[in-house]
This record gives sequence, structure tokens and C-alpha cells, in this order.
Amino acid sequence: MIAQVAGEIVDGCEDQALIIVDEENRILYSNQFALSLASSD
Amino acid sequence: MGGRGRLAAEGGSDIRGLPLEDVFPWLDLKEEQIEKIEVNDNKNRILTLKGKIKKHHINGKHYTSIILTDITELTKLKAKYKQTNCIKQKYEQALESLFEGVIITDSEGKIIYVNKAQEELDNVTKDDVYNKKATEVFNLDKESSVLMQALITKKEVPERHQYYINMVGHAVNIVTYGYPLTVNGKVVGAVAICRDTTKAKELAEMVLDYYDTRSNGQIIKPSAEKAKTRDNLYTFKDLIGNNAAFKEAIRWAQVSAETDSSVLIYGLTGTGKELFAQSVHSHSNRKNGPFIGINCAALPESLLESILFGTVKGAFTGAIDRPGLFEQANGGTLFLDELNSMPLGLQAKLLRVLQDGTIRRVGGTQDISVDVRIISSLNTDPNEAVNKKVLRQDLFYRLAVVSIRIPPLKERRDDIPMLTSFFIGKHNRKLKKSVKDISPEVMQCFLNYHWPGNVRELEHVIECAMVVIGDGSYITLDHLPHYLIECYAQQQDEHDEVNQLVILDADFRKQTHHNNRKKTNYILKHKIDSTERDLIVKILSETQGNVSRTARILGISRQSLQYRLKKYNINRTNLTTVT
Repeated sequence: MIAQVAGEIVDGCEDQALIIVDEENRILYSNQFALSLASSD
Repeated sequence: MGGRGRLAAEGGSDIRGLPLEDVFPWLDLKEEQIEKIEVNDNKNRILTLKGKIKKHHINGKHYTSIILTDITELTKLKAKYKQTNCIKQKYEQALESLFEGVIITDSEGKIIYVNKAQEELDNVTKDDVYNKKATEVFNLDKESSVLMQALITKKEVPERHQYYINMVGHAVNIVTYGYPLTVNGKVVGAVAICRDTTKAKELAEMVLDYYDTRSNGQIIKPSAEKAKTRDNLYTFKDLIGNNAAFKEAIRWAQVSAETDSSVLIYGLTGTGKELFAQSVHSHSNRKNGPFIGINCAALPESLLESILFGTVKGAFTGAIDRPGLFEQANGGTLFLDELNSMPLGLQAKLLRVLQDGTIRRVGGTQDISVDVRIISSLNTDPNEAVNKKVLRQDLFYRLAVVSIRIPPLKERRDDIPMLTSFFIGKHNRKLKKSVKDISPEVMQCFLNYHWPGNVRELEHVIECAMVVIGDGSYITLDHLPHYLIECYAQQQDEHDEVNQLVILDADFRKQTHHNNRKKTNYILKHKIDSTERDLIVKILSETQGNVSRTARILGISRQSLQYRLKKYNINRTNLTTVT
């Protein structure tokens, strides 16, 4: 729910990346800009 | 295919659930701040990021949020700003080191920069004047301020004389000029360059006072080498030389002395133009009148104008009623030295004076008749000066009724022995010495040298040698300036090599074919160099690097040895050669 709200706010942002992870450090949410930074390795 | 390409292509929805360290391995969640990291994005651009990491505890569950901000452009801008600031500081340092004052304003005429010289000129600090209107600071109006004129006209404002009282009440005389500053064709400010002429003005006043007090006597310009009064101006007897071209110049000068025509004397620096001018005056009908000389290159236009034509009270602030040199030379001769340095604007005024026979003081309304003969000089060829537009053609015709060319010393080498004897005699009297002559080697050196400073240079070289000679009777190469020795040694070197090659070449010619000879000559030259170098190293080793002893043993002068040490890169301290 929180991730959804945050996503709506920052999803189109072109100079800020938002990533949210749970307690096991698994990704719950990342916006488009964060995705462009994701490693391919 | 790697994860990033795939993830990007599929909109990123499938990275949900993946471990953070697999997708963003460069993120360290132990830190709260990410100061500055560089990361490649999916288009392979290097981005600079900074960020924050926050822990959240919601409904009994733990989450972590990471916010990263792209500061790539900001970082580039910062670097650019730093670089620009560095350049700005360099320019400011350069401006601060100038002797001339510099004032820069914005487009509204508010001062945004003054350099150190300007601070000293006006006795103010930068803080006193920054952001203030130039017109207020200098108590000027829009017309008289070169900065405002540059802003209004958007053109360069030519040199002008300004007099003002600075903020601490001191009178300041400056010569100033201004330029508009433009960026992309738009005027964004103006700069004024100011030269302090307060001291020059005071000096000019002293010169005029000096002339004033001696208005009945013979006067020459104070900068002349030998202060002469009515009875000891130079005459034709002081012109030393038997060279045909030089004697022809004297003949023309003698003819011109019998007339009242304007005379133009031209010749390179140090050839004796002023001696000729004084001699013409001394033998003319004006010999009982004053002889006044002024160097046109020494003073700025506005000051030169005041000195030549005089001023009336109120012409500009501080101006007083004072006759100029034209009035003071009335009935005599005015010598305008280095006329080609006189600004063209003033040349036009001079032409009017010559045509009308009257002058008008600066700021005056009355025309004053003057009877003055003009002798002028140029340190360049007159036609060249006219072509280069440093001399008005109409003025040239007016002044060159008689024109006399003084040949440079290199064109009258045959006069060198006579001039040498004359200068030795002159400086024997002056320095109380008893020098008899110069050595044959020195004479050879004198005859070979090109003498860019002409007779004046020859005299200075002899005077210098007579100062360092001590009690000796003959000037040798050891007493000459280093530059002259080096030039001589180089010529000797070439001469020796040519001689040796010619002698040996004659033998080779008998034996070898013409085509082989050039090659042989080259080898021979190399061999001579090598032998000479080895011999010098050998003798230097024997004398433990003592240059004087080595030179004596080799039978050459110390200077000649120094030249060869340099030529062969011989280091006398460890006696190795660098090849």
C-alpha cells in the first residue's frame, strides 16, 4: 500500500530513484529511474 | 542476456522479489547516507548519484527505503564553475599586477572591479567604490566619463586627458581610454584603462619652467646627453667621419643651415640626428635665438599638445597661463625628435601651425604669431612612415623641404677606427684615464659587428671597456661585453673553418672527384670540431678546469674559450661533454 502511494508520487521522476525493500532486502518497489540503474551483471 | 537489459525492456516489474544485492550490488544498506557514487545506467552513461537510506517499522514489519538523486549535471556545473573561477582568479591576478589602473563597470555604469594600481591612484579600496556609479566616484558627468561614453556609444573611447580630485582630496592627472565590453553582441559593461600622468605633468611643468627662466638663452632639451649652453651647442666640427655617404649628409646639412627651410633628418637610432639638428642651428641665421628640442615619443598626446602650444587658465582644471615651446622658440629653432611617434591628431594641428605661422594655446581663443624654424627627425625611412600611416603625407612634404639621411654605422665601417680614437680621447678626459688604443683583435671585432645601436652603441661599448680596464693601456677582448665577444667568436669560428677547408680542399681537389669533395668537406669539418673539443677537454683536465689558464695555453681569449665550452657542451666541473 505504502509502496503504491510512493510509486504514484515518484514513478515519473527523472532524477530521483526510489527503491523499497523488505526486511530480507528483497525488492518491493522500484520506480522507472531506479530500474534504469539496475545492474545487468 | 544480462539482467539489466532484460529488466529495462520489461518495465522493471519483474525485479520485485529479487534480492537488492543482485540488482543494485553497489548499494550498501549499512550506511544512512550515500555521499557520491558513480553508476552506469542502462544507456551506458555515467551518472553521479547521492542518496539517503531510511529504515521504517510499520505494522510490525521492517522496510528500508532508498532514495537516490541524480547530481550528474550539478557536479558538472560545479566543476565548470570551479574552472571558470580559477580562470577569473588568473585574470584578476594579471590585472592586479598592471602598473596602469583598470576600472570595470556593469551595463549601468556601476563599478564592479578596480585593480590595485587604480586603488593606489585614487587612494581608495575596492569596497569604497564597488557598486557605486563611476560618475559619482570620479565626480564626472556622462560626457566626460570614458566609461559612460563607452557604454553609451558602444565604441572605443580614444585616449583623453582627465584631471580630477580623488576621494581623499588629491589632484590626479590621468590619461585614460575606454572600451565597451560585449557578450554575444550585447554591451554588458565597460572598461577604462588609466595611466597616471601626475608625475609626468609635474615634470612637464618643470620643463616649461626651465624654458621660461632661460627664455633669452640657447636652450636644448634636458634629455640631451651633453648639457650645452649658448656657446656649446654641437657644430659640424663635432660630426666625426670621412665616409662618403656621411660626408654627403654633412654637406646637405651645411647647405640647409644657410637657408630657413624646414629640415627632416632621418636615420636609425644612435646615428646622431640631434647632433646634426644642433649643428644646422649653430650655423644658421637663427644661431643667436633659442634651440629647443622635444622628444615626441616621451609624452602622451594631451600633454605634448599643452607643452607645444601652451595653455590658458581654465583650459582644464589646474591649467594656468603658460607659453608653449613654439612661443619660447620664437626667433630660433624647434627640434621635434622622433616625429613619427607624434599622434596623427597632433600632426594635423602641427601642420596648421606651419601653414598659418600662428599657434593657439590649449583652451585659448587668440592666435599668436610665431617665427620658428622646424627641424624634425624620424628613426625610420620617411616613405615607410607615410605608408605605415605614422606620418601624415602632407606634413612630411611640409617638413622635408630638405631631407638628410644619416647612414647607419654598418654602412660606414671605414669610420670605425676614427670614431674609436675620438671616443677613447673623449672618455680618457672624462674618466681621467690614459687608454692608448684597442687591440687588433678588438678592431677586427668592431669591424665585423653589425652595430644595431650605431655610433651611440660604439661609444657605450668603448666607455664600458674603459671603465673595466683598470690601469691598462689597451682595450682587449676581455674588456668587451659578452654579447659582442660571442658574436665575434662565432664569426671567427666560421672564418677559421672556411680557411682550413679552403687550404685542405686545394689538396683534395687534386686527388678527388668534384662530387666527393662536398662529402669530404663535411667529414673534415666534423673532424676539426672533434679535435678542437678533445683538445679543450684535455687542457681543461690538466688545469683542473681553470678557464683562464686553459685559454692562455690554447692561445685564445677567455671569452672565446667560454664560447667554445658552450658550443661543445663541455662541463668544466666534471669535464664531460654532452653530445
